[in-house]
Amino acid sequence: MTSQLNVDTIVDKAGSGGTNVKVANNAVAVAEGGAATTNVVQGLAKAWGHFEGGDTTLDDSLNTTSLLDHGSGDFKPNFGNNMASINYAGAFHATDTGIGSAVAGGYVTNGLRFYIRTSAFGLIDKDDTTYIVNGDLA
Amino acid sequence: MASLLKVDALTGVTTAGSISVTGEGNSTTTNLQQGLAKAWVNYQQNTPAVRDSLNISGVTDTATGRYAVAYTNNMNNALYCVSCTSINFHNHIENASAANSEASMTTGDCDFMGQDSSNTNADSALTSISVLGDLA
Repeated sequence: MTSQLNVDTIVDKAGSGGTNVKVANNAVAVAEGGAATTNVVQGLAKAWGHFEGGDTTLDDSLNTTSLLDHGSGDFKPNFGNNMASINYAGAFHATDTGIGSAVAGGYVTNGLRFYIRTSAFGLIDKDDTTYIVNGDLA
Repeated sequence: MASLLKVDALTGVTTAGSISVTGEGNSTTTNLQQGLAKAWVNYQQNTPAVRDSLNISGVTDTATGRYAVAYTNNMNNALYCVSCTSINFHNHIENASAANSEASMTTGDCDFMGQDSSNTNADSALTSISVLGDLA
């Protein structure tokens, strides 16, 4: 039987916050327009991070256990929980002239290797480098 | 004891398409629907193929370095946010006319352009696109 839960706010059982709430992977949410539905789990970012290009310290992140620095402008965040396949979507940017650029073979299930380039396509370390991963977790 | 709630659809009481979730810091709330990516795609353009996607009805290869990404469920307006990256390329939302125009970003699709290091239109082996905003 199909069930529907009408609720305005979701928190955990203790009422202290939402960090312990679990949502099944086939749950959908009614969209903003009230007509279509969208899959909740597929719509969640599966990893994201913020760091300064000159070091390997993650300032803040989700589902990232470490950050590998392969050289100037060449990074690989490692995921805590792997992606289901290499066919996920990843986006990456940095400040000023830092342009995100994917690396051939850089999409792997346990991490995402990417470049930050200048407008002349040289590799460069830039502040406020960020990445976001959408797709399916294993 | 941990509780488990099994449900197929989440619907707001006050507004069907608006559910708030308590944030990680336990003080503010964030909107569940607005925080979800509404579409994403991993696309190969040099030999056109959609490898995996969410809410994508198709990708049309319109010319070298140019492609149109269509949504299954439309966006509510054309003022949503897209992010696009690909291997060794610059990526842009395509300008539909001589003047900078929003015509290439509609509720039903978005047109993109990929350029190589010489700023020449070229097909990438891998392009990732994520879309955030409100669904219709």
